[in-house]
Amino acid sequence: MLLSRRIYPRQVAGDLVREAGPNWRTPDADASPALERLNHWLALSAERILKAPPVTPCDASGRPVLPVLNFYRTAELGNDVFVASVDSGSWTFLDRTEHTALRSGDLSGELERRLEASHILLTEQNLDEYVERLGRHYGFLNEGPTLHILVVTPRCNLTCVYCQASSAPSLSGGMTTDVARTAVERAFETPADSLIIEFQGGEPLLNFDAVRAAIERARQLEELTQKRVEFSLISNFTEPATEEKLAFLIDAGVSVCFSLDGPAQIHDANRGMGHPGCHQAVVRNIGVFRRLWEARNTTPVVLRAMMTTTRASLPHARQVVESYIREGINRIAIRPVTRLGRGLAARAVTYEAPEFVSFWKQVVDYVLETRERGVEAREVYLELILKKLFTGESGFMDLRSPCGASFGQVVYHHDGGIYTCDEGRMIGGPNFRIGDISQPLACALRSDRARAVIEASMTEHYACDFCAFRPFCGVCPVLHWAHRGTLVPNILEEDRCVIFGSMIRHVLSLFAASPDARAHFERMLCDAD
Amino acid sequence: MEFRVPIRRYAQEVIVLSVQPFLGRCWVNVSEDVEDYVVSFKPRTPEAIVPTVDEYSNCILEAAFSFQRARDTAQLRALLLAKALSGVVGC
Repeated sequence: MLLSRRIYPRQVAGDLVREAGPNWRTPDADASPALERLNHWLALSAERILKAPPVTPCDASGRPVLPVLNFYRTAELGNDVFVASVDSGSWTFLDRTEHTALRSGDLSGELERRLEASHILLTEQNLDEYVERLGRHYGFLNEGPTLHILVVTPRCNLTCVYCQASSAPSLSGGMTTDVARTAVERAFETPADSLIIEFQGGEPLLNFDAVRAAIERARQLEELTQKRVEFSLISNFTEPATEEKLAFLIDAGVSVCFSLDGPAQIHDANRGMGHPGCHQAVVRNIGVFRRLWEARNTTPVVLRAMMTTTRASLPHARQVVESYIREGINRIAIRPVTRLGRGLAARAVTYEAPEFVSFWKQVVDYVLETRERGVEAREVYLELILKKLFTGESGFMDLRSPCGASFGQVVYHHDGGIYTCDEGRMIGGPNFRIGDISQPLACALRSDRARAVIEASMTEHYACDFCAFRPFCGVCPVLHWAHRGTLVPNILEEDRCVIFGSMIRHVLSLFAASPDARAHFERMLCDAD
Repeated sequence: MEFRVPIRRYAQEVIVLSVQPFLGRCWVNVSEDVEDYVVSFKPRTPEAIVPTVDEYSNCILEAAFSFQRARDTAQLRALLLAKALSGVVGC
């Protein structure tokens, strides 16, 4: 029962919510007192929920008297079109007349049926279905961490201008094979039935012994525990990606994802001084990977690449998409620079959030245009938002509440430290270090620091709770801490709200206004992984 | 552009929520003096337009409505969530 009381305290806690905020300024120094105060505050909230006179009429058993209007939020998309959503992620479009009718509670006919279908109006017929859907929406709460990231080295052969991990050739240190094996053993302590082990760096292929040792240990544990394990590896796909290593990765079933920032002039400009010809190396390795794959598999090769948007990319949305299609990569992952590490310092490569949104919209437009020509191109965030809107997807850890930190993912650093999440380890230092591989994983997950980050990532606490896009969105307290020195996100200071809010709004607007876009979206959902 | 909103009339959450539609085009600052919230908008790009009085007033009313509904339905939400999570976490 406690969690349900914790999820919605804001509406009844009122001013008390502000008491908890300042105490979270530094998770390191104040985690324990903050949690004590927070628990006190939550207890008060729960008491107020229980003692307050019921605004929603309930029968003697506490069941709401139906029909009743659920808590819904609305947002105007433009052209007199509104979207209304509820906590489970169900939603519907409304025109201005319907919006006004909903506000006044004047429901009848077609509108009433649509509101019932989208759980905005709760009735005897749909209440159980809504509760079941709400349970599915928060189902990940029962899973335990599924993504386990092994940072096998801080070293990289490149010095990319936006690198949020600040990796460089000169950095020393690397995960030993013993630490890699122990980290995998800790990962298998997760309550989840299946897990993904992801290798990151630096450039993880510079410490291939650790990668190999981790995979071998994971396969042994998979057999012993009957848990299902998948592997992925993030590489820059240059010199360290030798044919021998790529063949091993394919044989081991590792999904390889690499950086490709667009055409050669953009890609190479992002790789830093003194690393010419990286685009050429990536293209060569795509060819090698394809050849090795086809020699071993009958299924078509799946190439996974990520594009990081810098200031240099902004005028070249079409060229970026074309550079992917030219290499046979139809799945394009456009992401903004994460303002950490060199990405925080490099003012020359960063931009305002609306500039990124405009770039992303151009990419989406061009992806839809190429699909008209028969190329089955896809953009990853577009696909993700569609999945959230239409299939109730709640696995993507950046866009959910609470976020993935500790709850969905754990990071094992090369020195044996355990961190809340990828962003937490990139910040480094003790603030988001929640434990060590010498202790059971549960100790790290139950630590005060882990709890503080989880609590701070619950959008139910913030103004987000009134936003129509909340069921599809999320906050990152770790990034906010890096930028503002507090774990409690403030939407007035957050580019993230602008970026993801605008993306969700754009997808819904396209869906509402364009039958062509709608047809492509339907096909994208059918073809989605 | 600067707006002044009486503190006695609206909760702080309403003010924060009311500026949300403009975050994509404006830098927003919210401060308080003795009787008013002071909400100021600054365009993020040269082409961006700050909200008009009518536009912003509508957003405040919209936000106040959402806030009130959130208060009115808090118990219902807690009840439904408890039911939904009873199969997920130990309730």
